[in-house]
Amino acid sequence: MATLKTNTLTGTSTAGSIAVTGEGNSTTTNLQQGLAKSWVYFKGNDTFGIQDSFNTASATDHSTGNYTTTRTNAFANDDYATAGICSSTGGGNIHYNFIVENQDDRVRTTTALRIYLLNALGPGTYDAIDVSLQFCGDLA
Amino acid sequence: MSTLRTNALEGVDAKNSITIVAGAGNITTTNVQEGLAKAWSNYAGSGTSLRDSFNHTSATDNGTADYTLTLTNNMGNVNYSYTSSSTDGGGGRSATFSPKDFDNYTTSSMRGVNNDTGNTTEDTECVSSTFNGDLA
Repeated sequence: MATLKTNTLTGTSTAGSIAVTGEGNSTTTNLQQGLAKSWVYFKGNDTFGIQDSFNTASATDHSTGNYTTTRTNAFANDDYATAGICSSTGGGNIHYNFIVENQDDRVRTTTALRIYLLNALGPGTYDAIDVSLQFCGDLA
Repeated sequence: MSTLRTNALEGVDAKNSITIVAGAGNITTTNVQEGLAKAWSNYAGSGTSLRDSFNHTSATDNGTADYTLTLTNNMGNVNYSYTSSSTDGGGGRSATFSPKDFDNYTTSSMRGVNNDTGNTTEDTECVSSTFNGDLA
């Protein structure tokens, strides 16, 4: 086993591109492209606040089930991929919530993404105790 | 501060395995290859034009809210992890893009359907997808 010690990795030909041999030993993937560029886990209820995060500057609670998170280091464009999960709404009847962007009120910029928590009940937004988001894409 | 400049990284003992210290206590290691997303995309649900992507050759529109994402470099098996998000389906209903069934997981593509909570298939403005797993 060999151990390489370094603080920073930079591509030689292109600073932002380093190939990594994949699990099957037959293809390579790209280190920079494969890294999640930001993630955040926050409480979405009355104890609202970021619990842990990476490259996340802030989380804002606009109203019930309506939040914006912002990035410290911006993306190069607003075409990044997002994924998220949130907890269900508790109480007597459990309703499963989903994280979406609102087509009619989208806020998707290189630094900010606004999300809404909806559920199968139909129109209306709902707070969830736990909300997690992950972002993949090209940094500026 | 030291900076390593290289175009490619390979493991020494196994080309496909590099560990990196990543724990908060500076002790625990994780695996670079396993931790990397192997593909991601952002596309319009209508027409499925890829706005931006990594390791995708295409997104095919098979019909309303029925899309196939094709990979450039295949996954090593069909047991990869897939996540997605979508803009809402209109009318305050949530929408999500999910595989039609397990048969639609292949090593080179994944076919899914965008459904809203009214059980209506719907083309939405923006769909995001991420693949994690083992490359071929």
